[in-house]
Amino acid sequence: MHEFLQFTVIGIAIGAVYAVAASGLVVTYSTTGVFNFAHGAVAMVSAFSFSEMTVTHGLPVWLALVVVIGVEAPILGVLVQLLMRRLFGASVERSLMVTLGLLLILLGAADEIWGGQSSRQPGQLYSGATSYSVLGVHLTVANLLVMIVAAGVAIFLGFFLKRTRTGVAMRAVVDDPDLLAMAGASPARIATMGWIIGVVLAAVAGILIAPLQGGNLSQTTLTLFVVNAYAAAVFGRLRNLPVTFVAALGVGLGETYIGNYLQQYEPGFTQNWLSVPSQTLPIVFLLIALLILPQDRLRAVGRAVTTRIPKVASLGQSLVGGAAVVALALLASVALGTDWQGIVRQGLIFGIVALSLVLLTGYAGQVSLCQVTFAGVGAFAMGKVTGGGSWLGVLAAVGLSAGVGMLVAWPTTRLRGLYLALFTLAVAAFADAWFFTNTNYLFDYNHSSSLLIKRLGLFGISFEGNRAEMILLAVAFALASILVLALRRGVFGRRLVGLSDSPAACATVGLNVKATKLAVFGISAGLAGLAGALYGTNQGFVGALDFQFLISLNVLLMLVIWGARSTSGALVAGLCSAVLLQKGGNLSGIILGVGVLVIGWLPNGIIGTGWPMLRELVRDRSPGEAPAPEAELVEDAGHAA
Amino acid sequence: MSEVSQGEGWWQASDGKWYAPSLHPDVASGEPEPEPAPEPGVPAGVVVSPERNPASLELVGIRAGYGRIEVLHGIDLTVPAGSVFALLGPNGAGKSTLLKVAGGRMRPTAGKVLVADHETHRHGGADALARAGVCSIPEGRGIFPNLTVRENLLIWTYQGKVRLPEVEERAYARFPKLGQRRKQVAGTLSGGEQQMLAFARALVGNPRVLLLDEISMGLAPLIVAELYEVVGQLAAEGITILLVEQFIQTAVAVATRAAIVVHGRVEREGSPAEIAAEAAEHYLAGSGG
Amino acid sequence: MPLDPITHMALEVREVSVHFGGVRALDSVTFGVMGGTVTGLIGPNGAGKTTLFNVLSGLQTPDQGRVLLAGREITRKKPHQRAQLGLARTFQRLELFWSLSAGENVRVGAEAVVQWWHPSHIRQTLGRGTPVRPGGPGTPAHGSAGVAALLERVGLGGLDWEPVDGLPTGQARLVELARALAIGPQVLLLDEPGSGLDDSESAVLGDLLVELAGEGMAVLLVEHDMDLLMRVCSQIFVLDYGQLIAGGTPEEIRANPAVQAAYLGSAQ
Repeated sequence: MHEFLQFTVIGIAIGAVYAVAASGLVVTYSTTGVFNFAHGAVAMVSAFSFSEMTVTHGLPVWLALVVVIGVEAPILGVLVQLLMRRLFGASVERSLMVTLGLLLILLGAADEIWGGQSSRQPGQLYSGATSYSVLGVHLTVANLLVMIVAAGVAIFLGFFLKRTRTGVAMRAVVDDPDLLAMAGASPARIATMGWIIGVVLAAVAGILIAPLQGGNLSQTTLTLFVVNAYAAAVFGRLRNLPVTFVAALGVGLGETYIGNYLQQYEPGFTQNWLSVPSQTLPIVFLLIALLILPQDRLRAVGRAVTTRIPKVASLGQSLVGGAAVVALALLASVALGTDWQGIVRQGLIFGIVALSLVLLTGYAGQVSLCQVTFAGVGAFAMGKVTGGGSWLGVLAAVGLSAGVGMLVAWPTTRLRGLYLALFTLAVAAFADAWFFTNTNYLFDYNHSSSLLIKRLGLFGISFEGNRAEMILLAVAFALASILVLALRRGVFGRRLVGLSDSPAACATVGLNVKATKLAVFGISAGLAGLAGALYGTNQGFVGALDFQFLISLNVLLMLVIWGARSTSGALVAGLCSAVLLQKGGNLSGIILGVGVLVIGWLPNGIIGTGWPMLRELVRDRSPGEAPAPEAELVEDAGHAA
Repeated sequence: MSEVSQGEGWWQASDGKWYAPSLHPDVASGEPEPEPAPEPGVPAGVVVSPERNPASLELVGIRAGYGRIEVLHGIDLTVPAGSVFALLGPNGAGKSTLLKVAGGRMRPTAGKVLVADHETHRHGGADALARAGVCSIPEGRGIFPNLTVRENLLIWTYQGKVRLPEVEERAYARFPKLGQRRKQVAGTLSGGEQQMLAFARALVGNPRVLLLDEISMGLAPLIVAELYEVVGQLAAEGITILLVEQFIQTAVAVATRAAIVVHGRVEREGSPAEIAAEAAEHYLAGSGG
Repeated sequence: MPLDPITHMALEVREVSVHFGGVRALDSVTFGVMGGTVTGLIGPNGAGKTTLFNVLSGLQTPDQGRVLLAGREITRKKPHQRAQLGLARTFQRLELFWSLSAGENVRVGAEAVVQWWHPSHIRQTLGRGTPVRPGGPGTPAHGSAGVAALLERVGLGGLDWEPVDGLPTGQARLVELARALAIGPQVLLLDEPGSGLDDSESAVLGDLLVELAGEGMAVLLVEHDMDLLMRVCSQIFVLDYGQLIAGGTPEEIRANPAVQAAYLGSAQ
């Protein structure tokens, strides 16, 4: 009983921090319609700044608080709003990519500033060790302080959002910014308030949680603790603050009870299956929260701003393009040094992952943050079938990951946009924590922490040599891009684009939206699985860290930068991802994050925008092509009729 | 002020007060007005409050559209200060788009909007325009369905230098039903009550120009009549009103001037009676019937 | 609303009600559409016509009431199942596939009920039916004939490869109509197909609707253009704030004082 009460106190304290973080998410979302994936990163940066000021430079706590919460966080909030302003009214997917980019920028910046120093103590709001004993339960001042702050936040938000004009306008702005403007309020100003409050609450949560996590400050742990807040916010449907608060307390308590009791009674289980409960359980909570979300009804959406699909290559053109890729690879294998050859090989593999995203995200509009997870599943199958390195293994890789892809898609066919992105994020995190790192049972039960995969051979030709492997990978990429383009030309491709443009219209012409989504997830995951299998053959082994969530993010964002609807974009994105991972160091996140901001200006990506412009330019320059484009079009089309 | 009486028939009597055109001695004596309003729907004898300071609204060469599709192909329209101007015409002709441009909710691709002879684009967006006295009541339900009646009224206070109690008092006095439901979530009100709540915005902040987009949409005739009674009163107070209305008779009853918009152009402008006859043909007549 | 029991009722609506919050969008609406006729549905804006279309096509679940397609209950069927049973619709606010061409929009409709392993689909995927602009490499020689014919039929001949993104509203509406026709429907629901069309386009549309009805299709037409309605409809129903207030031949409807009041407003 005493133990239970003790866990309860700790659980409430942790839940209180989640509540503060989650309410920040909810305020921002309900004011701007943007779910801030960088919320955790903001908390992390704030905790580090606070520690820097109080621990390293010995500033008084109150001064540090004023600087971090009163100056740093609001400035960050205003900056984010300025970024987001360009995306006002843009698709959920685009603003989502930008907050993901922001996440990478903040992580990269923190790495650059604080990465070199190994150990760093969290800043304490109250450094004394005083604690009270109530009914035999240990209550530290730190815990008490957290609870008081959370209660204060709840009361403040309740008052502010219900009673003040700005607060009421904040609740209204997302529903109808146009009407708010007609009523004389500036939607942009109201949205800015939403960002400032959200970012400030993230900062407060970061400062509060850092000491509770114990030990040194960790960038990853601090950034990921927000996944708990995600779960709480999703329980509150991202709009309802009271439910979010209660859910946050529930998540905190659940995590504490389950983690502590399991540790106590089933230490073996915990060690083998949970690794760090505070990191693995939140993912489960988030998955549960998303799975119990109510059905999303099909709705007519009217005319959305769409991105242009570049002209689709014919079979002949795509064959020529494929041959060109192989030829370039051959050239690269002669001209480049060993180091860069390795990067190009990896780039081709990432390119295949990017191709799978062209299909899924580019054409069908379904955001996936777990594409590299599918690749990992493929690598697992490759490594397990006939000892690794057989064509049978490649088949198994494609089949298994396609199956997993459809399994992931099954509950998500009713989710869209943001919720789908959150779900795939949770799947990726789940696989990171429970599968790839579980070398005892699941991923690699030889306890050697890496799964060996041999190079392939074909008709007596071995791909042992790196040059041969390079050609193999180039051929694989070429075939995959020919496949993606062929799908796009056909029935299936039109359906995918239709699905992305108007699901309601798809349904009313008789298309089974759910089946189409399952199919595209399956094919896309299968393609990613192929990439995973090839990744294994290229590297000779795969380990726990090869298929992390951040790599999925890297490839996805890179593809978006270059053009999510083009296969050449996929190639460039794959190569750039490999270069960035191998050579970018700390700066890679910042480079990628800043790059993603490009889509505020170029929704079609660099290639998607540049290519048609280049064609126009060439057409304008060349003499003799007098007729206006319009006239030419109609005339051309006349032949077919 | 003198423009008002010259332009639209509002006239200042020797006692310094403003009277509706129908009460002008010239009308009684049979002397026709330059643009006579045959049946002004303004309650007789209403006094125009001079502090309203009505403003004229002028659209010059307006072109506007969505994406690459142009909806308005060069609209020229002058709404004199203090007049009630009705826009009639078939669905999809561009009337709502015209109101959007006039209210600063949409940027024209060409042309300019002048309110009291000032170009509005210098005001900024719809919010700045609203604070400057151009009040738009949009098509559909111009309310926030997830907020309560009171919270909606609180937001209406952004429009002018008024406080919530004052707004509540005015709104509830005008629409007593709203007063009974002040804590109810607006989305659960009946259609008529929702429109009254939307309309309450025209009562606050002393707007100088009122843009009304099909306020009768989906409402029972009794409620429409009630809303137009308010429109008549606001008109009598001297607010310049530009309205789009599908019900010709309703519009004509209150208007002092009217125009037909077809295919993004002003086809004809004239007195409400003339325009009504022509517009009715567009709506109900039908050559094949 | 008294209705004669008619021999072939293609679409029946029985006592359908829908509420949104405190607003009653549809109030116990009952009527039917006969096969081989064009039936008009009119009423002031906001009367509930679009809500009714959403109920019919399965995008909105009614609070009460039933919907029958050729005598078969479809109230619980999903939108795509209804389409496969022969119910097609267009939208007042266009729901096109904005990043595809006019022809591709129609193709999605034409192919929606065909399984992917159908030979013609595989041929396309292999590259012979590539949607590359005609005249370029890989010109499609076949497969597009049906689509071209449909576009021709709605008056958009030759616009197969035109991106719908850049079409004027009237033509974009016709693309939606062609897409709806592509599924081979028994019942066609058209939500203001005439708005945004010029006179000649409108005339073509009217002829087409009469022709379709002549082929046995049941057409339910929401429209404001009374010229068009008078010309093509054999029967018109009038919806006013969620209730059916009248039904009859166009002449009866025009003469009906209740309809005039609803349409022209009661303020005198």
